[in-house]
Amino acid sequence: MRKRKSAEGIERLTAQANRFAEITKRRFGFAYLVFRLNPASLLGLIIVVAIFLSALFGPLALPYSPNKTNAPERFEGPSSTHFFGTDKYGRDIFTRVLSAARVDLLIALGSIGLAFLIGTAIGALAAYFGKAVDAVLMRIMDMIKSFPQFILAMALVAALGPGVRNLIIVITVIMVPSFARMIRSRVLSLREMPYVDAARTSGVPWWKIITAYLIPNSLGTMVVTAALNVSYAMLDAAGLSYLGLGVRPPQAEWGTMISEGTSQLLSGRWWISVFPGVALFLAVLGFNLLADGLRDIIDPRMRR
Amino acid sequence: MTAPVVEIRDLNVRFFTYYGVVRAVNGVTFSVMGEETLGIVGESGSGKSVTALSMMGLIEPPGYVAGGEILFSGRDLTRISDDEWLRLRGAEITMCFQNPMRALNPVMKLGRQLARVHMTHNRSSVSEATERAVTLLKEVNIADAERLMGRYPHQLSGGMCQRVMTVMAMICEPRVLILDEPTTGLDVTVQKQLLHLLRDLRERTSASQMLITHDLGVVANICDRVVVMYGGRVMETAGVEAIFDNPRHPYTVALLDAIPQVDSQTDLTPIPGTVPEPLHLPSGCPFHPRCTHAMPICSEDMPLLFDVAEGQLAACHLFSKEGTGVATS
Amino acid sequence: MRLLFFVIRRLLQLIPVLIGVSIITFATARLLPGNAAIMAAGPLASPEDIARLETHMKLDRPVWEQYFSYVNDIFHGDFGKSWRTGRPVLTELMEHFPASFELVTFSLFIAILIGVPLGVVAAIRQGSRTDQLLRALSVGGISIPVFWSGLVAIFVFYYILKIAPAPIGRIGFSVRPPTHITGFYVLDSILTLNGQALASSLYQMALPSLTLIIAMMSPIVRITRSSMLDVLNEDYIRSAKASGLKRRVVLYRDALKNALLPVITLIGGYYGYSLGGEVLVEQIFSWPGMGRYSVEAIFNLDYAPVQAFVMLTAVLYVAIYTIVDVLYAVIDPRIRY
Repeated sequence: MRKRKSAEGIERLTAQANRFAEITKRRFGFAYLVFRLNPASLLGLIIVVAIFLSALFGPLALPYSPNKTNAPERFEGPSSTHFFGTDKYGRDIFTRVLSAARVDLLIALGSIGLAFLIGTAIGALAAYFGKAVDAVLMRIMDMIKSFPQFILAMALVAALGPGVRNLIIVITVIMVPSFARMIRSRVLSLREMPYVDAARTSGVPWWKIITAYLIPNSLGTMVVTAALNVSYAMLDAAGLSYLGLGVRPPQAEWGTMISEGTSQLLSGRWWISVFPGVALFLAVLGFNLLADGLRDIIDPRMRR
Repeated sequence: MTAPVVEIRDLNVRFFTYYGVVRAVNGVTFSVMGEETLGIVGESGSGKSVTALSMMGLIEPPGYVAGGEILFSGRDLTRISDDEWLRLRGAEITMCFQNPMRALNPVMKLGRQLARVHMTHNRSSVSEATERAVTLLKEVNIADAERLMGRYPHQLSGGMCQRVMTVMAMICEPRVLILDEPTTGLDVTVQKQLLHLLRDLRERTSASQMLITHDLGVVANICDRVVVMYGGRVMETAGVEAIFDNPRHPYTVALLDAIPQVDSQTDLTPIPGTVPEPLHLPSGCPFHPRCTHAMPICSEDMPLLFDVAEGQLAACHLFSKEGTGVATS
Repeated sequence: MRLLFFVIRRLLQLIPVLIGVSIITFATARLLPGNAAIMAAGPLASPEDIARLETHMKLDRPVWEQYFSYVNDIFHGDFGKSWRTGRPVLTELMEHFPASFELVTFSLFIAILIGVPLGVVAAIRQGSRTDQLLRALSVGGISIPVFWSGLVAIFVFYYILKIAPAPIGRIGFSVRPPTHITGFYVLDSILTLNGQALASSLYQMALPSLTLIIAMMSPIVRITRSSMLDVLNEDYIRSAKASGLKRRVVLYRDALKNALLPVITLIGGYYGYSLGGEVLVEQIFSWPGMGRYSVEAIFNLDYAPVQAFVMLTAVLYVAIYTIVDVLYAVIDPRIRY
């Protein structure tokens, strides 16, 4: 597959490519970073932004209320008045899907955000102080990690009870070990850096070293870990809700909506389950694509 | 003077990346003579490794050989087929890479890695190839060569790995052996052993050696001739004594001036500026932004290699008919 | 020798992990709402009965004492009784185990068979249309919620196309399960030469395993591709090419073994993870595995099965993960010597 191209053709391509790169870099600065995202990740970014916007503003713009029942219009298929049709109670599914977006995003981002904070703290402390602190903290992380994520989540939610708040707590707990591990290995390698040594010997207190030196330099790793885990958080949350262990009806959430539609599936009313699923799929896909792109830019070594 | 084994004329290698086109090798011309040790000197990014890879046919997309010729054994290597490459590579032109430990497959026994090279090119049997490998290993002073054949790379020291890699490259009696930064990363004592080994090979075989390095000490030690590269171009070629005693090209002069002297009291004199980014090479002569002798023409036209002395060529406008021909520090 | 030390060290590392697992399992179950004694006693019990049961179940003892008796019981194989059926939990879990095991093992096997070669191909043809397509499919595959794809599969293949069976479990409605030898319907059917049972059980397993295969194959393709790409960039691959070896030889002799090593570890972990029962898939297809059993137990506030289930899945996960680690050490000469 190593064909020789004509010299002139290559010259032309060369000149074109060079010019384009120059222009983009000079004019758009930040856009250059976006330009560095491969096309797939760009798509992911667009999807995520679209979901955000529709979650925020969508329900406001639509005439229907997500929870108000409307019996005469129940079980209508997709139409121009009801884009996604209606469910058993006559509620407009399109509106509900958008409302559910808020809930799912809240749960996923909330739990990842919390796991981010807690996991980073644990990982940084464990790596910085080493020995006993490291051993204890990492043992606890290992204990959590030895359970299959979803099953542990199931048990914890069963124990704590349903509801958005508990769901966030549970998912945070199962996500913390990933963050802790990542940050720990990153800080371990940073810890040997000369500038950290210099800071230490100059008398900079440990908490300042961590917050001012170690963490800012781990930000890339942390962001990528967060991005990679958002999709899992979302899938776990939806899965638990589907089982009835998470968000409770009548609250609109993609998992519960799919669950509500399950019994209608074999009566031919597919739209009740399918559309929320598509929304969930798109959300997860968007975050996955975005996360991959970020990872490739920030730290390709994390590919495994 | 012996005849040239490899003649490279006006070689051009380009890489088409997402961010632009990299002109890694930009009109490089030099020859590797028979039975000589040629040193290719230059900083990182000067195009030395890419030149070597093109001599092995190992330039892969997004890189392409965009122009020029590499003449070897009556053929132009830039135009031969893949099948012909399979015959040449590893048998007539071979290469040793940096980091010998990483250049060997960690999960395959060394014996197998060595023998199969011989078997591929000579259609020999396993025992024949193994025997040949063991013989060579003994020649490069590896005691207990038979046991080594059953070992794995991680069980060896860096120096031994380097020797194994050299054997792998010599096992088919090539005409040219290319070594990419063979001394980088090795202990000084191991470096010395390696240079000794190379000198030994020089005497025993008729293979030419092409040594890519940025270490002028190594060059002074074992090279017969030197090619100085910068920014994808050849700046100067000369015999080793001429290069050190009488460098003509401003870059070579500056390079040698930058070497700290053991007995001097003066400050170091580094070359001002930095090596150009491969994506944004300067126009004209790639060295002109940092050159103390730069003239207006230097930023416009690329200088050709001019004869400056017996067996010495320098690519600098100073030596064209219009130039003054002087480039001393 | 190094290998032996490695194995021993790994096994020793297991102990604190297992202790931790038991602690968390114990703690979680205690948080379950509903007084366990009231549940076990049933609706007709009197307060004295409940009190007696509480003492019997040691619910009035301090927590750590309860924990130790819990651990002690486990060592004697006593995982408690399901208050709903009155039967020992371990027995019930073991009854449900073959269903989960069969489904997961079958699906993962096929997922590996298809996924690994695809990942290798994608890496070899990096950047090509094939690679892009495979990458797109695998990213899509890991993004699909498995409970949703199962439903879609049922809808499309059963309801619309009518080529798949009704999702009612492991074997057709009117077909008798094969004689119980291993508990794995497919295997037992083969062993007892029961063609009808074999056909029916395979037919029933088709749709759930299709769902699982898609879900499992996607990460496998990604991991394999990624690992293969890493290896292809290594120096020794370039050395092998420089020796004049054919591309195909370099790929299959040099690159593949190196690339598959980390993949084995990951797939092994994945297997252990899934063995506990793909809860969601079992739920949708009414597959009588451990996962579905435990979900029912949760809704029945039956804490003993939940506790045992969580513990068992963790133990399985850790056990398999350890086995795979050791296997890796055996294969990789860097650890052996």
